[in-house]
Amino acid sequence: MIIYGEILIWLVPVIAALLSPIIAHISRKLTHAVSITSMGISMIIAFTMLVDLIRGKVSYYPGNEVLGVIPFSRTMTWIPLKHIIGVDIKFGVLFDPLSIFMANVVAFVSFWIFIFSVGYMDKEPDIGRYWFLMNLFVSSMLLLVLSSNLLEMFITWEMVGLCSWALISFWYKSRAPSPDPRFKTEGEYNAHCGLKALLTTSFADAFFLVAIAIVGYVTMLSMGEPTFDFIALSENLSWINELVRLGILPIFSIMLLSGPLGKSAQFPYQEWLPEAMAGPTTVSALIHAATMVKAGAYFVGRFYVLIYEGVHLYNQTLPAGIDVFFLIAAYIGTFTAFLAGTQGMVAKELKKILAYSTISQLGYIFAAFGIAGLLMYQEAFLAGSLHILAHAVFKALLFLCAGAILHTVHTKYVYEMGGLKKYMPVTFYTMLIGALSLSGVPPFAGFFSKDAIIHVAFQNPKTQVLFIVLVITAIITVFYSFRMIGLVFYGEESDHIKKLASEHELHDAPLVMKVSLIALALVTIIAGIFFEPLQEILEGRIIDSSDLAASIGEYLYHTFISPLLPLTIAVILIGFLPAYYVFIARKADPARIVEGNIILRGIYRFLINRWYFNAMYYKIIDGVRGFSNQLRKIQTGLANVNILYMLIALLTALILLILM
Amino acid sequence: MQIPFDLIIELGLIIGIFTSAIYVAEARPISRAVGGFILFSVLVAILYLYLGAPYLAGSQIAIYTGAVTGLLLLAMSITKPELPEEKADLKMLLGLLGVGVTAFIVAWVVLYGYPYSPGITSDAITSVLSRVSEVEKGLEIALSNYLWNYRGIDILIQGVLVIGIAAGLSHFFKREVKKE
Amino acid sequence: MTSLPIQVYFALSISLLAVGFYILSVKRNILRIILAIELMITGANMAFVILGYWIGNGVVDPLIRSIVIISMGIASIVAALAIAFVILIFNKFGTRDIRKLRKLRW
Repeated sequence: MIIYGEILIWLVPVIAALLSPIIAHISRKLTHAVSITSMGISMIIAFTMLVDLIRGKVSYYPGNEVLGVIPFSRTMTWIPLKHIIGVDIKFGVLFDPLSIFMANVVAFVSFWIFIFSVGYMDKEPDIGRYWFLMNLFVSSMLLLVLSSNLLEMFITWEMVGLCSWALISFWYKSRAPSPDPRFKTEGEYNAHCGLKALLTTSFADAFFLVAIAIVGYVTMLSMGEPTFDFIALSENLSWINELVRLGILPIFSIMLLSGPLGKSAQFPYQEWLPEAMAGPTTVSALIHAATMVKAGAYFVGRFYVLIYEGVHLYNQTLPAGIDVFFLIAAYIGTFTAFLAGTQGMVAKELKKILAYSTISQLGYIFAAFGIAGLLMYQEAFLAGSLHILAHAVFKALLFLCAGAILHTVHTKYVYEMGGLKKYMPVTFYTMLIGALSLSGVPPFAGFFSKDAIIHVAFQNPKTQVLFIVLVITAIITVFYSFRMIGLVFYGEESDHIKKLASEHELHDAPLVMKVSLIALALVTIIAGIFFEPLQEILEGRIIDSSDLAASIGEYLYHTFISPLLPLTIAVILIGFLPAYYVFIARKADPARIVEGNIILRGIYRFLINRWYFNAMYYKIIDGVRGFSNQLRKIQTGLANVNILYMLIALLTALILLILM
Repeated sequence: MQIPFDLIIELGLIIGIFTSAIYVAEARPISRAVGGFILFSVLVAILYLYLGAPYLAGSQIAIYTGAVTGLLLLAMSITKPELPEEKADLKMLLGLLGVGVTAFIVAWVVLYGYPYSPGITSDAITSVLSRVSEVEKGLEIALSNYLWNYRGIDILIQGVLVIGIAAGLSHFFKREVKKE
Repeated sequence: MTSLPIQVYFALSISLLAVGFYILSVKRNILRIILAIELMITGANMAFVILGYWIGNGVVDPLIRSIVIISMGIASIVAALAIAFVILIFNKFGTRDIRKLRKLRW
């Protein structure tokens, strides 16, 4: 790692964020350049960290000063509150396989998204605001994955949420007609979507904060002073026994899981993510691939590592009962994967299909981490972590392709597209690679990781139910991926496309967009080969370069020889054939098939209404709003009445004082 | 029997101050209330003078009867129409009642104390005031402790910086999209 | 020493506060409300002066004098600002009635 890399990695984007609104007044190109440079620096620093990880110890490059052996953390006292709440609030960076791996994923994917932004936001007048928020977003995510304690992580966690709110409702001034009849303009709709994301995640985070406070309390009981540090929590697992003794472990688990579930849009908080498509597509790509939703999955992985290292590195006994946390995570993840996959089958907007697939794939990651913690099974953890990487890359790719398409065709409904293959060849082939990876076709990155997840679910008799649901979801995934490809690129051109083609408006993405599309597509293709060394890195082993090729070969051999390979192929075929028949070859009209069959029609209506969860949530919110509307009559806005309230409060206080 | 001049003057001042305050509250039109306020300030100044604080009396006269009243008259002349003043209604009576009750309780608490405090007796005041200097010293130490050892000054500077940055940024973000 | 007990003066200052509160809670003319604020500040100042008189044994304590002078200065600034607001409000809304200013409600 270069000198002071652990600070520079997140500080450089922050500085770029602060500078960009000012520079935007001088020159647009300079703003782009500053942001991309800052992200590039972050990426390089993250990469040097990875090199350190491979060598097993962290050192500064000029001078070769060895900082420590992984895992360790470098902390400083941030807010000294020892005399007040009994613990100083620390600020620090954790060097740990998972955190450095995540930092690399975040920095790498964000870098390409930033490059894509130059082309995508070329006509945006508010470019300063855009870069300010994007840089801040990525830097808070980098700090989140690198933070060394729960409180610091929570602060960055909320910063990520805040930036996502501002970015989702980025086009809040838009005067175009709203896609939702409840709002007057598109700007209002966008603002509503951003607020929905913020409210949902904050609601979930409230429980998360309570759980963090409980951690402080039980560590105070068991260790004598409250601690939030990941390594300290890992070194001494007695605080979990304390939770068991108090009998609050199940409720604590639910609360602690609530935050990640909200951030990662898992059931029951899944409804904010489809609406988060209102922002610019680069923002969606960033939210889905690198920053926002990965935070939740990262935390579950972090919690698993905490327990696992406590058992295997620091020789603690495995506390009984902690598997309830992972049990909930695994089941909710699996259920959400299925839930969102079914909704993705019928979605009408291009970006919403991708949004549902994100929720679904995150469900896979949650299931993997859940199985890992349930059985203390390292394979499952590695599968989940690699799926984070694979998903980040191919989902960024898919979103950027979607961005390139939307940039050209100016509509977001897939039924208004079609036949785009000959107009946008580069976009088509890169998106096809993304879709193949998403559906788990060998040899793309998604195949290895998803196969590994299904494999670990299959191997253990406890998780057979999860295995069945995950396989069904895999079929659904293949179906909607190729439905999307077929509707966008194959078949008849719609009227809208014909009109654009006659005006010579249709063209492939500009060069700067193509560059990042091709780069991400290449990574998607070759990433699978590097999964073996990545697994070793994640396990904290020091890589021996001499037999690297042999071990990669062995890994590939094992993957392809696995008993599940026929199953994988069957899954792909079962999903692909109907999608090919209906949407690519266009042999049948999907609308007629659905209308003709009463059962299909019922299912279609059920799915298009998103299992009625969204409507139900709005009902609840309306109830709360009705109550609040009654309550707000107290606030008259008259200064006189406010003074009278003050008087009443004073009177009450005095009476209490006398009666006490 | 000697006539208690002091007592008469003090009582007269107190009653005068109170009455003029009531007059400020109830006089209409508002210009008369301002007149009442002048009277009130002068009476308070005389009270200060009587208590042996001539500079305070001077300031009182200068600031209240001078500056504030002048500004009030200016505002009255700029903002033209006289409001139709409200008549006494139930709401006003309720307000009066509430304020009266509260004031009574406040006075009771301050003067006669509540279970944990003896109220303002001469002993209490002397004992409190004898501790004042001590407390002040302690406060000073606490303040400097807070500012320097507990980074209060950092937080203040951070606050100023954040506000400045926020103001600057909000200025930058204020730029409107050009309407087509 | 005053011939009246100190409690009477405290009662006076509390009653000034009460009158101010009364005006704030029922009157609608902004100028009268400014007057009420000044009345209340004077009441508070008076309590200070009485205390200072008590410790100073017949002369008001210098520390308390300075505090009261600062307080008076601030009161005058508050009044000046408030009057500026009154003029602005009058220019913008054409009224001096605070019951018509309900913008703080949403």
